[in-house]
Amino acid sequence: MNLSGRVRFNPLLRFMGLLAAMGVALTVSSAQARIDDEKIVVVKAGRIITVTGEEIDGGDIIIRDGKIELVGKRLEYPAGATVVDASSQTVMPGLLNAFSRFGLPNYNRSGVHGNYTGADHVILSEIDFEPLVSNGYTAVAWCPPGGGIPGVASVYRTAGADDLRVLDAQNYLLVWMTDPSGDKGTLRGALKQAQAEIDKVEKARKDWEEKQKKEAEEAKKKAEEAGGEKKEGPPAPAEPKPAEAKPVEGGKSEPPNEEKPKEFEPPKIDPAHQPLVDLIQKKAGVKALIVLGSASDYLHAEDVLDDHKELAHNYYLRLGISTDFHLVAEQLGEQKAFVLAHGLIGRFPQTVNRNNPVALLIENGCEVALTPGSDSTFELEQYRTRLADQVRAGLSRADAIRAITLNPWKFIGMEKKFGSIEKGKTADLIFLDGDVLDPAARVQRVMIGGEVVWERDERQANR
Amino acid sequence: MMAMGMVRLRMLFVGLLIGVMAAPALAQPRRGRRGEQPPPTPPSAPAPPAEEEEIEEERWFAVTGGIVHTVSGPVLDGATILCRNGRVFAIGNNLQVPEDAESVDATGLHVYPGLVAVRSSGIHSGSSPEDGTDVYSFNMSLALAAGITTAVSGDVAAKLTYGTLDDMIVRRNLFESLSWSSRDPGGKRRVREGLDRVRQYLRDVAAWEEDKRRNPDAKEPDNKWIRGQYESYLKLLKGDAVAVIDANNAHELLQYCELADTYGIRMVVRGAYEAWAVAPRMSRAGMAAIITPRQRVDEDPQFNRPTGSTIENARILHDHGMRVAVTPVGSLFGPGYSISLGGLAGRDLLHLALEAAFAVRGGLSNDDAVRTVTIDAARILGIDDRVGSIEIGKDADFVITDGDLLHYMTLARWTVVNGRVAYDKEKEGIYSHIRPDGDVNAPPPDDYWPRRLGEDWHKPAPSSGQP
Repeated sequence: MNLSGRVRFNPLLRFMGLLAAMGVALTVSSAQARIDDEKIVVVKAGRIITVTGEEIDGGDIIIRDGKIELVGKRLEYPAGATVVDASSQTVMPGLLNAFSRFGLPNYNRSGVHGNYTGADHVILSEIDFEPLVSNGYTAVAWCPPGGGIPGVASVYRTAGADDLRVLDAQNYLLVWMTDPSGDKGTLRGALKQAQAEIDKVEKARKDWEEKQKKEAEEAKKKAEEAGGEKKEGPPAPAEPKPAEAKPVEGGKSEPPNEEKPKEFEPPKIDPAHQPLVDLIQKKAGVKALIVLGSASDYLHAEDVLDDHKELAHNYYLRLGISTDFHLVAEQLGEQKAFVLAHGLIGRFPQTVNRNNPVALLIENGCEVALTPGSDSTFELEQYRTRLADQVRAGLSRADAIRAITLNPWKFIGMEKKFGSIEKGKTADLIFLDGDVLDPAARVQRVMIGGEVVWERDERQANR
Repeated sequence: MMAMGMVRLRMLFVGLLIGVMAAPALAQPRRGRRGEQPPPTPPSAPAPPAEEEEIEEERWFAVTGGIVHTVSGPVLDGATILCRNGRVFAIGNNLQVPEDAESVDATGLHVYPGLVAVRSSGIHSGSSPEDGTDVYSFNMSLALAAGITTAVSGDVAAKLTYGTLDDMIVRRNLFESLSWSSRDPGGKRRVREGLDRVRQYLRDVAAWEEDKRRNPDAKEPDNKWIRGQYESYLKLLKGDAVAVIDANNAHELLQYCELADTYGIRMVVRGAYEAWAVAPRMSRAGMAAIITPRQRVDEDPQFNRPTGSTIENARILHDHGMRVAVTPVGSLFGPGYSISLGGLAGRDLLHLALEAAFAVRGGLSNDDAVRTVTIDAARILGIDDRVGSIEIGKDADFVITDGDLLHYMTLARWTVVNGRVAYDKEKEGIYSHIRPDGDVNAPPPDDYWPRRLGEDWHKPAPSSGQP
C-alpha cells in the first residue's frame, strides 16, 4: 500500500494505542462491526465543543457511517460499536484552512486565469500534510498561485482515504486587489470581457432563433404549396423560444418531412472567463473572493463593483502588524459582509495602540471566518494562540470558536456538512489535550469520516 | 417655521447667484462621479438652474465665523461659507445654515483655499490616481495637515480625497513636454524641425480650407504622420496645450524664450533658479515659472553674467509680471521640485506654505506669496476654474488655520476637501498634542515624543519590582 500520499502514521502504533485505550474485546467487536454495512463509532469525550450548541462536559458522540448521529451525555449505543476513548480530551470539529497555497509551487503569474484551479497544481503524493494535520486542519482550500485573477480554489481534505479527499474541486474565484493600480484594471477588464462573452452567446442565440423561424416559415409555405389538399398539419406557428429555454424537440408539429429542430449550440466561452460569466449570471454557488491589503483597497474594489452590484463576493482582509481596516469596518458592517481574515492583533497605523480588527468587524455586524496568516508551520501552530490573544482583547469566546470552525465552512458554502458537532454532519473531528484557546494544548488525534487517521506519536507528545 | 425660513433662504440664494454671479460655474452641468469634465456643451444650450440639478441627496457643509481669505477677493471677517455637494454655495455674514449641514466653527481662525502642490510624489499613485491611491495613507494625512488639497501626480491634478475615491480627478493631461537633453547637440534642432513641419502643416490646412471654397476637389493635406511627438507639437502650436520644461540656467531659459516667441507656444518652466537674471525676457515670452525660493546654487565665476540663485527670485519674477508658483525642493529620488516624502528633503511634504514664506523673505508681499501656492499655482495648471480661491461655484477646498498661513507656528485645524473634512487636527495624531488649545505662547509639551504613541508608553511597567 502506498502511504506516501497520505498522512504519515504508523498503523502498528495506532493499533497499540487503541489496544491500550479500549481493551482487546472492543477491538475485536469493532472488527466485527466493520464487516457489517453500518459502522458505528462512539467517541467518549471529556469535553465536546459543538459550536452550534452548548459545550458538553463528559459527553458521547455516536457516529454512523462517518456521520454524526447523536451528541449528548450517557448515550446508549449498540454493542458492536467502536469506542474511541477521549475522556481526557476536548473534541471539536476539524478546522478548515480557507485560504492556502500549502505545498503548491510558486508562480509569478498575472492576468485572468479562471480556468485554473488549485487542484491543478496539487500533487498529493508530493505534499507532506503533517503540519496541517497535526495542527487540526482537516481540510484546506487551495488557491491557485499568482496575482490578478489566478483561478478557482479547490477544497480538499488533508487526510483520509484518497476517494474522500476532494470536497469541492471548484469553489470560490480568487481576485487580488492588494495592488489596485494594477488589479483594478485586471478585474475591470475581466468583467468587461465576461460581459462580452455573454453578449456573444446571446447574439448567436438570437441569430439562431431568427434562422429557425425563417426556416420554419419557409417549410410551412412549402408544405402549404405542396400539400394544400392534405391539411392534416395544424397551423404550426413558429413559436419564438424564450431566450433561456433550450429548444424543445417536437415543439413544432411540422409536416413529416421536416427534420427535428437542431439543438442550439452556443459558441464557446473563453474558459479563463467562465467563472466571471457565471458570477455575472448569478449561477448558484459561484462566488468571488477579493483579497484586500488595506482599507483603501476595499474602496477600490467597491469602485470596480459599482457597476456589478449583484456580483456574489466576499472579502479576504490580509491583516498585518499595522492595520487600517477599522476605517472601513462600519461600511463592511452595513453591507453585512462575510469576511475572511487573519486572526491577528495588530496596531493602528503610526501608533503602538492595539487594534483588534476581528472583534471590531464582528461588533459592526460582519461575519468573520479566520484563516492562518501564512502557510508556514509557525503560523499554522500559532493559529489558536493568536485566537486566544484576540479573546483576551475583546473577542467573545463563542465568536472566536465560530470564526475558526463553522464560519470557514460557511464561507465556502459547506456548512451543512461540516463545521460543527451536531446530527447529520460529517464526523471530521479533532481531539485536543486541553481547551481550544489554551496555547499549550495540542492536537492529539484527527478523525476523518469517523475514522481516526492520525495520532500524535509519543515522541512528539512529550515534546 | 424652519421650513419656511429654508424656502425663503433658498430663494435668496438663487437670487444671489443669478444676480451677483451670473453663475458661470453653476451653469456647468454636473460633473461625473470621477469629477471629470463632460464634453463641452454648446453655449446656446440653456443652463439648468442650480436648484433643479438632479442629485440624489444634497450634502451641505458650512464653515462658520472664520476670517475668510478668499485670495481672489477681499478678506471677509467672520463670514460663513456654505457649501453644497462639494462646491461653495454662498459666502457671507448671517447666512442661515441648513439643519442637516455638517459644520465646523472657525470663529477666530483663518480660512484659506486649499493649497495646490504643482508636483508631488508619494501621495497619489502614478498617472491614474483614482485607480491606485491609498486614500487612507499616512502620506495623504501629512499633506492634508500641511493644507494641501490638490496635488499633481504624473500629468494629472488630483484631490487629496481622504477616505473616498469620489471626485478625485481635477484635470488630466495638464502639460505637453517639450525638452531636449543638454547633452544632445542635435536635440534642439530636431525639436525645431518638428515644430516647423507641424507649423507648415497647419499653414497647408489653412490654405486648403481657403482653397476648398472655390475648388471642391482640393486635396486635404496628409495628416497620417501626425502622431506621437508631432501630435504634441500640434496641440502646442494650436494653443490647446501648455508646454512644461525643466530648465534652470539663464542660457537654457533664453533658448526656450526664443522658441516660445518663434512658435507662439505657452510655456511653464520648472526650476528656473536663474530666471531672475533674465526675467524681462521671460516675461515678454509669456512664461510662467515654478520655483523654489529656498534653493541655493552658488554663482559660477566662469561666466561674466549674473549666475546662481537668489532668494529674491519669486519677487523679481512677480514684479516683471510673470505668474509664479512655489514648490519645495523635492527629493533626491522622486521628481525634482515637488512635494514628497522620500529622500533627504522628503520632509518638505509638510512645508508647502513655509516654502511660500521664503518668497516673502525674498521680498514678495504676503498676499502674493499666498497666491503662489493657491490661485497662481492653479492658473499655471489650468485648474483655476475649480480650485485656488474661495469663490461661489468653486470646489469647497479649504484649510482652516490657527494663524497666518505663512507663519511658521501656524498649524491647520481642519482641512476640507470637496466639502468633507479630510483632516482634523484633534482626531489625527500628527499634531494633536502641539498647542492643543491654539495658544501660541503655551509651553511645549514636556513628555516624550511622540504623543501619538499613547499615554505612558515610555514609563516602566508598574510592578516590575526592580530597582
